[in-house]
Amino acid sequence: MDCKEVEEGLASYLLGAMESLDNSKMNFHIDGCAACKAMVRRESELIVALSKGAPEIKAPARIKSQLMEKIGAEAEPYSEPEPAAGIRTRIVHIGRWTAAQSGAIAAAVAVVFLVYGVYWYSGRMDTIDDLKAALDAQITSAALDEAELQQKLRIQRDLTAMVASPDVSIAKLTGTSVAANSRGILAISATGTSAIISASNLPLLPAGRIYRIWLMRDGNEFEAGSFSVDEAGFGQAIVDLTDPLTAYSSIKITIERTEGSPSAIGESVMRGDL
Amino acid sequence: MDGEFSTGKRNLNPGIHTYIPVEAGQNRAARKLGKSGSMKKEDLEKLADDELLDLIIQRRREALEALYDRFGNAVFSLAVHILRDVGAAEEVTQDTFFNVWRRAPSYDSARGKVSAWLFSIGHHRIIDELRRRKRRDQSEVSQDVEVLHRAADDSSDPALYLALQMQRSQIHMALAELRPEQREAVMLAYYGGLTHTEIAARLQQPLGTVKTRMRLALKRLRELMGNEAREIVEDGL
Repeated sequence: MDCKEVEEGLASYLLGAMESLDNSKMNFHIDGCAACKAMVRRESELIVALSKGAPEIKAPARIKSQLMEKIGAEAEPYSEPEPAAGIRTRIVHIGRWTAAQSGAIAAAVAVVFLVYGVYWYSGRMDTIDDLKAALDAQITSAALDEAELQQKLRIQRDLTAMVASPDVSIAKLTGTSVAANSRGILAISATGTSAIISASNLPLLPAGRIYRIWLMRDGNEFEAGSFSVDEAGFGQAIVDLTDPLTAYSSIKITIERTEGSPSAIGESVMRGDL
Repeated sequence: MDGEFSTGKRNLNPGIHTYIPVEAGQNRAARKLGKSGSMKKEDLEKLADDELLDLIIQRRREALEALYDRFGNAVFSLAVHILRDVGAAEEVTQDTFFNVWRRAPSYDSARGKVSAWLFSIGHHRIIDELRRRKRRDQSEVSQDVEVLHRAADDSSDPALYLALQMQRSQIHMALAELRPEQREAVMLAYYGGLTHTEIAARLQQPLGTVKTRMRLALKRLRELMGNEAREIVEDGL
């Protein structure tokens, strides 16, 4: 993404109308570009004005009291693993999606043949309009699938370009004995508060299991998200952090239950220093 | 209300910025608070937004309280307006200020004033909640969308109907001055929580057209509001 693209997308960005990936790409560029930062600063005044445009309602006092209570708890010096508060992870299942979409297209083609088969064998000419409608629907569905596939491929190209950006720093992840052939990289934004994790050669997990990302600091584990992999063992996740990654010493990936884990209790498959 | 955030410096690691508050900034806030550095409410009220943020970085809870007193109602009002659910609005308002507390060291004054940063956090949190609800209950989405449409249908101009609900006359008037299609794009995005792709689908317009409408809308708002927008930011509430 360059300055011209930032300028063109700035209104959508400030209005909160961008898709999450595009939003991350904007952040990556703006973080490292003084000119674009200045542009954001100038336009953000309008957004504050819009924010204050809602009819004013007095906030209940309990919001403040609960907030201060929560902050009191937060002030405890990291005595136990943090919940995922403030860490948002968006999972990108590109490989898995591709397979799924291929299946969908194949299914659509199969349905088309089935529809024709029913037509030829039943000889029910009076249903021809219904059959035609079904055929049209399947063709439309297949076309949408193809458009979605193209979109996903574009996202993949954009991700590759983002990783190649000079403003991005890279941390390497290596597989443990459980997944010795696995490899991964962590592409970290200029501010250190956004990162893309890409992992390959990881085992495909059974149902109910997922790869979970943990950041380590002062001997404590902080959950930073999760992802699954496709049949080729490839998976990706985009992680937004409240604290920069410099606040953490290392990263590891473990196999956990899909419904969540309070700490990293599953087998560790990858790790890396930050 | 907030000035330049000149009280800190950024330590540039390869590709990673880490905020390091420096003594000068601490002294600036402390100077206004008196020799004792006491945290009386009336003293904190005199501090600029960025000075309060300095103190928040130093983990002074009273400073967050003061910042909440300054912006809490506005964030809550925005949340209620967008989510139309007081309980959810309370939750996201609390989350917004909790994020301010945790993310204060990552504030970058070059990207905007403290108020802009705070409302950006708040708006994103509100929109996240709105989209999460839509994913959770698609039928509810349709209902929400219908409500938006119904509200819009009650007026000859859909977006104007929503705009008329606003009490702030400057913003209201500026929005009313926009071309209808530009105003519609802004309202659906900022107050409706729709992505530009969703707006394009809704309006059956090319994505590029929607992006252009948003860009032109902000440009026109800037022309219309100009100094007024700056005053709204600087005056707080």
